[in-house]
Amino acid sequence: MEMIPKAEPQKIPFQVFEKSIPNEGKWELIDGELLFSDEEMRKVILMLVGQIGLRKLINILPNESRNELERLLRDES
Amino acid sequence: MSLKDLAFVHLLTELTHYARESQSGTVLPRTLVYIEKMEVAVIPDIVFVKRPRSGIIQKNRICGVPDLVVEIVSHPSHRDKLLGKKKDTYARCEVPEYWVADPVEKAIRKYVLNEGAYQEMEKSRLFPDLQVQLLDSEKG
Repeated sequence: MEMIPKAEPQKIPFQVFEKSIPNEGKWELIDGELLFSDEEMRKVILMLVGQIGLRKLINILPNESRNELERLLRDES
Repeated sequence: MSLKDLAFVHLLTELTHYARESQSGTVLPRTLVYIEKMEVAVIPDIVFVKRPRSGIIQKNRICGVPDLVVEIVSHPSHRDKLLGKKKDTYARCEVPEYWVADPVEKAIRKYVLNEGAYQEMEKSRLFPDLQVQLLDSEKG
């Protein structure tokens, strides 16, 4: 079970929360990189974005990042 | 309590008792260790700082290299992380001793820094007389 981020915010089910906490809840930095595995990173990002919703994510992003995102989405399709 | 938590409490108690009795230094649980020149910020399970170097212990963090780092395995993939990237990082930061306690294997691997690389040793240089067995803590 994992979060599927939607436009609007969602509550985080406990089962998702329990399985999405990366690196035993410790945020550690080595050489400028968080010590999360790719899978841990994927789960925590999905949980966080699911919680705030895609609309808020877009609002949070600086203009430059929004433009990059738009370009990437265009390239993907 | 999980196996990891039991091992953590047991090791913390034993190391704290030893350090206090020998007045050799300070044992701290889950404290942020920041090593600026190596761009490393980690939260090991247990750290030990020798008394003459206690100046690196600050209000809510350690700014510098501890004398001993102890990490406790919680599951198999975590073991790989502790014996891989973390071990390499602690060696690069010149942490003199690194222990990896494995409550499932009932073993504590003790690595001592030797010419920039860790060498597994039977006995710790910092806690030579300390006898810790993870099995006992689980029974208790």
